[in-house]
Amino acid sequence: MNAPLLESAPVFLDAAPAEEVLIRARADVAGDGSFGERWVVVDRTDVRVFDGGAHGAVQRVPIADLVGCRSEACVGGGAMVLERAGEAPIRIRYSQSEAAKFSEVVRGIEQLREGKAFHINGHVQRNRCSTCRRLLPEKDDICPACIHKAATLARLAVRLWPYRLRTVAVAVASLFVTAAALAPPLVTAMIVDGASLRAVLATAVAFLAVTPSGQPDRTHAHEELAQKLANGDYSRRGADGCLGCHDEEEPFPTLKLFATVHGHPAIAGSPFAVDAATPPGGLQCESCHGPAGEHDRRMLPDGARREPMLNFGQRGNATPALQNALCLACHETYERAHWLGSAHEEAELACADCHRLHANTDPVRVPDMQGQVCGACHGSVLADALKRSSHPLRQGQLVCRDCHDPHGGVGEALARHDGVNEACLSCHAEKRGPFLWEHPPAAEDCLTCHVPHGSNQPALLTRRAPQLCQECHSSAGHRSLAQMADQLPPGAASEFLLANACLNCHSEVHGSNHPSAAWLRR
Amino acid sequence: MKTTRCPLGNWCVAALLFAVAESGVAASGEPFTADYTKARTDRWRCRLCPFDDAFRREGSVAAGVLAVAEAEPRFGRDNGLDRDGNHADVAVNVRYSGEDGRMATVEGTDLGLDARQLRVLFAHPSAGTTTLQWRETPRNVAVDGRTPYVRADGGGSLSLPADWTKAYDTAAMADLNSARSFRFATHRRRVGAAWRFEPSPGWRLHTDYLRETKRGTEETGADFLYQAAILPKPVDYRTEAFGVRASFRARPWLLAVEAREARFANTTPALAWESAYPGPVPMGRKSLAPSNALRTLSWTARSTLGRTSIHSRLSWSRGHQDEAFVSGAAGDALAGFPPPAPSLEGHIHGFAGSVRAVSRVTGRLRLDVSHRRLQRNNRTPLRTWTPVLGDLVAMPARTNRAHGFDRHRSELRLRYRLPRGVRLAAGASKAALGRQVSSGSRPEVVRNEEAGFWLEAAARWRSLGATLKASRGERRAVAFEARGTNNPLTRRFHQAEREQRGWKARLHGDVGASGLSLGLYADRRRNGYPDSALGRLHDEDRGWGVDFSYAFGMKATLSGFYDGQRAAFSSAGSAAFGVADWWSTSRDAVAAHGVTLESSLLANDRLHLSFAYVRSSGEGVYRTTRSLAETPAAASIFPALVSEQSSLDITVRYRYSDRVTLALRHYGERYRSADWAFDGVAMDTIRNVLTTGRAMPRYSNRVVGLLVEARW
Repeated sequence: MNAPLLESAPVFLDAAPAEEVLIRARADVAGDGSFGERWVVVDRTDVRVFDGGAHGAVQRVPIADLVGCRSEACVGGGAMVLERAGEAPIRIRYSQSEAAKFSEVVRGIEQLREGKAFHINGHVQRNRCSTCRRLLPEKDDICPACIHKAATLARLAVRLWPYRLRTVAVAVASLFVTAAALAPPLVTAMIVDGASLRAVLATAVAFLAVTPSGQPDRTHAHEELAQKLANGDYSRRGADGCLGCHDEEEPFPTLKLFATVHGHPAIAGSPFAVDAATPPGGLQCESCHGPAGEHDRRMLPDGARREPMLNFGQRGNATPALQNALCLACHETYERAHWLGSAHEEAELACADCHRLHANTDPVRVPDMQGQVCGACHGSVLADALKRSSHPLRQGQLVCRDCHDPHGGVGEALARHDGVNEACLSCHAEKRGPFLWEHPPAAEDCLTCHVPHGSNQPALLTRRAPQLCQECHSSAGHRSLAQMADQLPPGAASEFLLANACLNCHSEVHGSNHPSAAWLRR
Repeated sequence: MKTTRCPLGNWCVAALLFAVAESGVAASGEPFTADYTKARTDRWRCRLCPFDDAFRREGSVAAGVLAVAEAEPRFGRDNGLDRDGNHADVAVNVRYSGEDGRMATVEGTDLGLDARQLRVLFAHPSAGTTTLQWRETPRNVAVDGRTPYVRADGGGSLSLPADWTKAYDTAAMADLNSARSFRFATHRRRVGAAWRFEPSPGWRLHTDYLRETKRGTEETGADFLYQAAILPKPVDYRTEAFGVRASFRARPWLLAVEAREARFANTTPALAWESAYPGPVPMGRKSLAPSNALRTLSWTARSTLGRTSIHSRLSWSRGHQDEAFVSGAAGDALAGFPPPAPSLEGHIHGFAGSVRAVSRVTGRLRLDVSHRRLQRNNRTPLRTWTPVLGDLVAMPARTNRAHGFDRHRSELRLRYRLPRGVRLAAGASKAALGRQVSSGSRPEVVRNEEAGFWLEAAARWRSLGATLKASRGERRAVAFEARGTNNPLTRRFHQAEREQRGWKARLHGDVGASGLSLGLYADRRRNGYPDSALGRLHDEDRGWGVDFSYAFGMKATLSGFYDGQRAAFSSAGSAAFGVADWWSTSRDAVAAHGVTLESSLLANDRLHLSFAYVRSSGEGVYRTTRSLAETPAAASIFPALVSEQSSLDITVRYRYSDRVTLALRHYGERYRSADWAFDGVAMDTIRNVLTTGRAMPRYSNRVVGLLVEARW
């Protein structure tokens, strides 16, 4: 409503200016910043600022001399700034309660300065409570001090009566949650003050259950991601929405995916397959990273949290089980039939811990590099390959996958084959037999005498002959004799110690097919 | 804050908090449910997708020269660099990806060396995926072994020079100086092909064929009673494996049937050799590895029923071996005792079964029950034989030894996931091994029963993870009966009563945002054999290590590792065939450490440096004492078994242009070893064993390589 903004003014301001007064407004902050009084009187030609009552200073600024008039925010209020050419600006400060009024004052002065029609809202007064005279909140004009609480509660109770049981349950649950949040200090005190061991065990486990660890709680992101998958709110533009931000300039480049089968449009079932008849194939980035939801839908201010997308690996924001379930949605084939319950699955290994998809090559699938990937966790096996006798793991002639199935082998230690012996015999078939004269421990288990990765003894043995053989063979005669160091050159040269020791004669130690090889000598 | 001791109250608090925690956390680890119906992929244009970059031919070829300073078998044990001089080295990596989904890759490494590998893959959406592979694996052991024997008759017979002077003592064999060196080495060549095809959704067919030949020379001992010789054994093996598999997958089922056959053939099933010693037997004859075959039929099934997943794999196998027996020649003792059958007619009926049920009892609790069975039913006919010892002395008749067993193992595992990344697990297992009893042989321990349990705790905090596991097991030997000629106090360790304890610990992860990744691990396993007065008394393994990796921004990475291992064994024996009167211990200590630095230099990472140093040292000490009270100083201590290897690998790669890279590599390796079984043992050192006289390797060698890589 266009009207002059004229507040009731003290008498001294009525020293009538020649022009019609258009604005007469009171600021409740004095010139020195304390609460006080300053008046701003504006007519068509001048702006006058009255400081400190009838005998206070008066500053008169012709509107024609003003360069600009603006308001600026201050703590707890604001200031109207009159800018003059070649002179310091005049600041008229006010509290927050006057902010609406002075925004109109600034608008009016600017209109006069620019020669525009004067058009402001002259009625910006805030209401006050009729009971206690407090300024009322602008949004609802309800005085918080004088509100009738009992009446409010009664109205609330009436509305909640149909849901009274649920209301009570929520209230009780809230109490429990509050108690659980308050419990850690109490539990900590119990532990610190030296409670009994049983109590320490009990409370320590409970402590783990409820104490915030300070880490980003992956559980919450996991819940959110799982819910996103269930909602199925896929993006409108697919990969075009993702690649607009996630390009090769990112710390984690993405485009190398398109050099692999995962990024090929003609491979049925691939994420970028043209035909999306077999989801999650064909859903592009969202095949693996889940529905975009609100992730790409709007620009966010700096620092604001964007709705998460599922990312992979031990640093991923979803549990390994969820990550792996997404991979297995397409790759649950024969080769991964025994994944669930396998050692790697039990250790909560994610597929992405070993595999790299956004790369030209997946290192774990390259023979020369597979050992390094496995060795990241199984470092001692890589060290075994440096020992005196070892399988050719270092050179990539033999890879971990030749004996083990990391996706779940049916044998011990993720062996690919039906038993350890079958794994060994796949390369050492000459020892398969059956033989006329068998060596039972060799037929039972190669690991009775050998270690599979590397040994400081020859031929990957746990211990060398004759000591290894004498752990089982103790017949009277040379088998039961103690082998001493003085039987070595230059003192003596025992055939039981030197060269191949027992195998100088008993050479067919894995079994023999000779009619006379009852002692494995033929 | 004043507290009162109230255990019951603490348990109540714990129970209450458990209840709150359990109710408050969503069930994680459940299979996800997804709704794909809302995806409107018809509007997805994928304009930013670089398909043009994907549909292309690209590849690289690297060729160059490797100059090896010295010939050293162990230096080139598995990599084909065992000979000095210049070697061509070629590597290829070619990829083709067509718009219609056809893909082809050719990957080859070390193509100029004896360790060459080549893998070719063709894939077509309607024709499946075909893989071809060629892999050669050398195994070079020694070239300094010598032998007076020469091969004749295609390698199945070894004869001595016509002017060979036989002697009872090797020191008296004057012709050893004319012995020739032979190469103790083998070479495997593996060729394989596989084809995989999906005829319709859910179905997958797979077939593969593999053929491997292994040729070369190994060592084998051969004796005439108390005189022996180490012979160069010809190796000419051929292994073929063929398999076909059909699998079908339709949630919640996965079924597969597979048939496989493996055949092994030895073109030299027997070896005859001329005796180097005087005596009544001029020629000996021994059997080498007999040809054999194995057929396997397997069934795999997996089904998910509600919260429970059941896996099973059942395999039935039939192995047989029917190589003709070595027969005696006219006039030798063996001819007087012909075998009761011309061949073994050996049959093994095998079974391997595994059934496992994994159930998500609650969102946090998982139960895993499994049962495994491995059976080797040896149906080889039992016959009576008259062994002729040393081709000279007929021994009492005996029945051949056909060994079989039936092994069962059941395991129960529980895993409970607490909030905040903490996981507790426990397991218990029960196993039994029953050995085949036949009229020909009865094992001393017919049955072993084993029980064990383990506990594991794992936790994750930010990017750090820790795991601790402790295990314990006991094995019982059911009804030991002394058999054969062994001292009745002896318990063979693989069937003796045993107590096993062990633990493992691991800590790994990233240290904050520092760029440092760290891993620490340690483990220990100890076996005691309480019932064994003779034989193995105890054994122990310990290991520990650390590995780290640190990234200096995007340009450099430093990584390193240290690994230490200890293995110890102790056993007792009785020379007097009574109670223990001597004890033997052995200790192996191996330590390996290494550091690698990789760095990219110059603008656009044109220059790449790699520096890797690795050192491994192993020491083994054997000790024999004749009294438990004997002081260590009085014990008979063998010289240490030593193997020390250190290597330095420096590679400089310079990207001359986008298409050409030059690489210069220097690899140096130093190896020292000592083994009392071979050090100072010449051909005639052992009076009654004619050895090859090969020594333990000791060298400093290097290879310098210059390669040019071209890319397109």
